[in-house]
Amino acid sequence: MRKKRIAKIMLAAACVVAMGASSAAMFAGCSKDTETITVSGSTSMTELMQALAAEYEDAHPNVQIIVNQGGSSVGISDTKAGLNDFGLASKKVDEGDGVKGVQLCLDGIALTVNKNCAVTQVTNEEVFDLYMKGTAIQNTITTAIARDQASGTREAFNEGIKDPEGNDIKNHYNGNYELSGFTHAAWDEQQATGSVISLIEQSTVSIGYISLGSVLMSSANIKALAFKGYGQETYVAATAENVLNGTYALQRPFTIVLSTSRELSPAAQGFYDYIMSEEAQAVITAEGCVSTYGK
Amino acid sequence: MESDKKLHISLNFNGEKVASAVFAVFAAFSTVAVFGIIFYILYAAIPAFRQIGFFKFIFSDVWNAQTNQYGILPMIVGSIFLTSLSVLVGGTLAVVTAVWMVYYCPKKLKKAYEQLINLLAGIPSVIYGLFGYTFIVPALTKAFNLAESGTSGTGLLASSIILSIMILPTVTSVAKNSLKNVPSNYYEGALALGCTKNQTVWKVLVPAAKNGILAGLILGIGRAVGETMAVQMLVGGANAYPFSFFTSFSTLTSIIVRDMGYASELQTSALMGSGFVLLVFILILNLLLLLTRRNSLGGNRFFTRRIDESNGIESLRSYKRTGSVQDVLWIISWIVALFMAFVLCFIVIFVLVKGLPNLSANFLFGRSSNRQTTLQPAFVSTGLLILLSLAIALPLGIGAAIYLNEYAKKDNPLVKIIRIFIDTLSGIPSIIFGMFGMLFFVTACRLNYSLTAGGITLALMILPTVIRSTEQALSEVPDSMREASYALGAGKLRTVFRVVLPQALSGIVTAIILSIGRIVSESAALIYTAGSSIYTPTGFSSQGSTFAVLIYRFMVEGTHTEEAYATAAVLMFVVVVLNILVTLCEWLFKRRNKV
Repeated sequence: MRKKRIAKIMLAAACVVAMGASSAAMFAGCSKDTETITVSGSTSMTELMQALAAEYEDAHPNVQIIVNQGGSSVGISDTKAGLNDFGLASKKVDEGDGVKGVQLCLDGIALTVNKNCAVTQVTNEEVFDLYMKGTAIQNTITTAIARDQASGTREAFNEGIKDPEGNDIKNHYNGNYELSGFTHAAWDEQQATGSVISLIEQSTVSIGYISLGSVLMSSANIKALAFKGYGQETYVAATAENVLNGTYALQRPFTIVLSTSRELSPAAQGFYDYIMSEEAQAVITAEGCVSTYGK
Repeated sequence: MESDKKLHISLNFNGEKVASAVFAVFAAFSTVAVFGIIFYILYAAIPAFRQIGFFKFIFSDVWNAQTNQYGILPMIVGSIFLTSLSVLVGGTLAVVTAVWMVYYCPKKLKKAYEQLINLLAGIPSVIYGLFGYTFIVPALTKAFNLAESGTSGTGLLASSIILSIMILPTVTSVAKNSLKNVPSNYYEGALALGCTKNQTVWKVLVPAAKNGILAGLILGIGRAVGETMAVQMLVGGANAYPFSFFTSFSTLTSIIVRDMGYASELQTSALMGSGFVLLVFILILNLLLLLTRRNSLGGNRFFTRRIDESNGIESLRSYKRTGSVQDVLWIISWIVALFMAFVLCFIVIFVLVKGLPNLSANFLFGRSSNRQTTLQPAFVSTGLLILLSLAIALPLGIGAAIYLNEYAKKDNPLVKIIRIFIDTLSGIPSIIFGMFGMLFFVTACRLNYSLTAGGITLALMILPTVIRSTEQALSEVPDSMREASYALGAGKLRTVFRVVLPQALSGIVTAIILSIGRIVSESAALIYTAGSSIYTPTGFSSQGSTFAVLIYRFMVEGTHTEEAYATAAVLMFVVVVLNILVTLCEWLFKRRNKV
């Protein structure tokens, strides 16, 4: 009978633990009145938005900002469907179809190599030839590293690199590689910026593309190459100034997507005002993005 | 259906009959759940099948969101390659380990080694993924000098190494049971004919247990095909065929996790299609399993002594060395067993060493925000999820077990069917539960991403565990207790609740602990039903992340490996404690049975 009692006690204990945990939950949860703001969209913007949200939450302890990832298209469709307060898109969003875009800042896409790599500048044609045909860049860089299909950085890269006729290369690999289902023999796909960086850090013959901010912020042994875009005469260094003045061709806007029919809630309006303010520019710059405040 | 009939026919409507009907309905619930899952996943996949064409969907190798073309041939090939390789490696290791555990393991080590294997089974798949991604992949990159050529260690080799370790406990435990159940006269007979112990073990006993070993391997295949979170982190994620060890590729499960968050309408449907193909694989495996279970081992069920009852096979010395293949196998089995123990200890210690230094009071209990994600929400969410899913699954599962063991006739075909469906339900991979939960509870029932949706989904997942464990305990209650109760004039219902159930209490407690283990380690199913919020839930209607989900979140963000390891250390601690509790429970149960 003693063992039976032990078993009973164990069962009771399990119940008590569960009850305790749940009541603790109630207390923890109900202690304060919180307002929740939901933003969703581009994965590339997630880190920036989290940094901005962290600043804002520090100043407004009763606000919770949920940053959901999901790609630029999700940012737009969620805004249309009213599933968020506002959306995030790492591309230009024209007004129409119930949404409008407001530019938050700019971001450069850096062609990145190991610091010990002899190459310092590349042309649009060289990048095109390596990624599409496997031709080595300046007889040095033989391996192309790409991002996975869901990546916004990949989308921006696809739109920035042109074929000899001046079309986006995304049309090309629709026609050649991706339609046949094979990944390009000379290119390795990685799912995160971090893995691209770590690969480049270990190899002097590889090139990859990551957000310019990530290169500037990274302590890793990598550098961004100067780039001569399609139809350009000179090489342009990958710097914030050149992104801002538009000469560096591989760039994209970070856009806030707003609904044209729906007003922002007071809490969301407060956060929106903050990220568009002068105060927020320090955070934007610190995250490696190019501030366009007042420009 | 049977219950309805009973309700209508019985004019003398009484508690006994109602109870019997209710238990029958509970037991039939698993059947409903399996059909519900198959139907809903298929329903969601139909737009893709229709728009793309079923054969084109299966046999095309284009997966392109920009052109809205979806074909899953590379993923099917990826899943098949990965599964075959890991079952080949993991399955072989598992069978050898099982043989060692039953026939060679010194008696003193037996209990401890069993514990190790159980712990290996209890490690959450997201921790395996974390370990693989931060240890195996860099190690492979270095060992094969991959970085020079610009590739990384992700791909077939890394994922199959981890998957081999993950399926090992499943295969081992089934194979072990069947090896234990070989009639001991096989052993004695072989020895009498002049075989050495090693010859007997490898040429007589292992072949005699081949059905059970096969069943174990099939279960292992099911586990490998359905594994999601660990695989997703290690395959690389490109749409390519895995024709070399380090090519980045995708499987049926990894593509779902990769694309679900970004998917347009047709793409979501295509992902459901991928899930449906996976489900079909699993159902086929279940049928195969059914076939292998048919043939049982030789000997009479009651009067044949089994290997595990015969005294001390493990302590028996080989009295003759022949230098044969079997002797080599004997040595190999020792090496494999020690190697597996080493692997397990390594993983556990690696996680703890990496994680514990990053733990702080603030990280554990501080307020969670965008500035700093802490584990406080995970404590609350996990507690709430455990509470809700047990509240649903325990009554259902215990009711079902009572029906199966106390009410149903043993040869009732309906009972056989219900058993098959309970087994099927337990074989369904968690990503499928997640997709079903998302379609049914989150969307169709409008529960949104919430702890309620997550809790109900988890309840479905733990139901088979609860039923089996309770049924096992009920079946071990001696019939004389029931007869004594009837003789004293108690009705059936009273007997069940006052006499039988209290006797089976430790079985129920075991079921609870096992279920908690499953809940804390679950991630794939929860991401799609309970969301992955970093805030403390305010009730059952808000989103919430458990420890496992937080580990995944930290990993996806890429820059938070330390936090991921710290969380993993906490989770590992919980898993170890739960494992100890289960053993304690079983020990109590055994002791009482001896009385």
